[in-house]
Amino acid sequence: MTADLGAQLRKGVVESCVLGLLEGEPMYGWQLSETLVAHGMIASIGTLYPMLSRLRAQGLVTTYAEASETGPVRKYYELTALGRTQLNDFRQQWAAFVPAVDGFVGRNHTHD
Amino acid sequence: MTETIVTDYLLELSEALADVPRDLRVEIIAGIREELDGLSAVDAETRIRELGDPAFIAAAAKEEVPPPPPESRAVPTVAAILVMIGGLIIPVAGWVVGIVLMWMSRVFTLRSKIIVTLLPTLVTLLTVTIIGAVVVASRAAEDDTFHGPSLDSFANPLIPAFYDYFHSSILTLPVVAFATGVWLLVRARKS
Repeated sequence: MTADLGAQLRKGVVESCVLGLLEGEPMYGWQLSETLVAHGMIASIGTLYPMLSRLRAQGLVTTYAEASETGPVRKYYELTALGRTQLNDFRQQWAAFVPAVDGFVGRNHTHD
Repeated sequence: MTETIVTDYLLELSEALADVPRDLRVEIIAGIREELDGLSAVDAETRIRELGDPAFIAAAAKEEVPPPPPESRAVPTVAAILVMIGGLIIPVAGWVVGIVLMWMSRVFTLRSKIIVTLLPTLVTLLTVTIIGAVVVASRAAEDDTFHGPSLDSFANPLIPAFYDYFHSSILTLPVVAFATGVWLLVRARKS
């Protein structure tokens, strides 16, 4: 049940987290996956690619290929102008959302 | 050594992703391949461990992909009926439309599509070959026993000429098309 709850919560925000990560710098698949998995936002790199292709289909991210220092050509994902707008919208809504939820759920008083 | 580990892993992944839409499958495999390219055997093994079981990656990917809406039965049914009798209504073209519709439908497997497309032609070619061989053999046999003037000088109108056999074997086309159409219809109903 707890796992389900976590998964449901992540579902609504993980795409915005990808946009947030890409705002800093363009990143390649494994880089994104490693960071998101480390923070428990996705279960595996298998979750990442369907999400990236959705974001790309919506015009929020775009890709380009670049040779890395160690050899292989990597596909980098980059935020588009539309992606930036979407991220800013999310930020505003999230800023209002968190205190609202906190207000309803409050703190756990049983151990206070 | 590195090559084998990486190739095996990518193959296993590709198999696990068989049900995932093609574009996505290609993207996932390309993304993981670029991560494993140019690594030493030890590094590749470590990275493969981090990436995890291909079945797990595939399961995660499938969870993210909405299942395709079920296809209406109309297209496969019309396709099957056209393959069955389309060629009788409008010669050749009716059957071709049926075949095109069948290829557009997701209900039939690739194997069934190939079989249904090629079978009428193959069976007809086979019939022509067998009939041709029998005719040639029977003529050769007659030549052995008949020592009169050459057979070619008497064209017996009761014995069908060589090309008649070929004309008759064209009749197998609609029969085989009908049979494959019935088979498609059964498959379309079952799905």
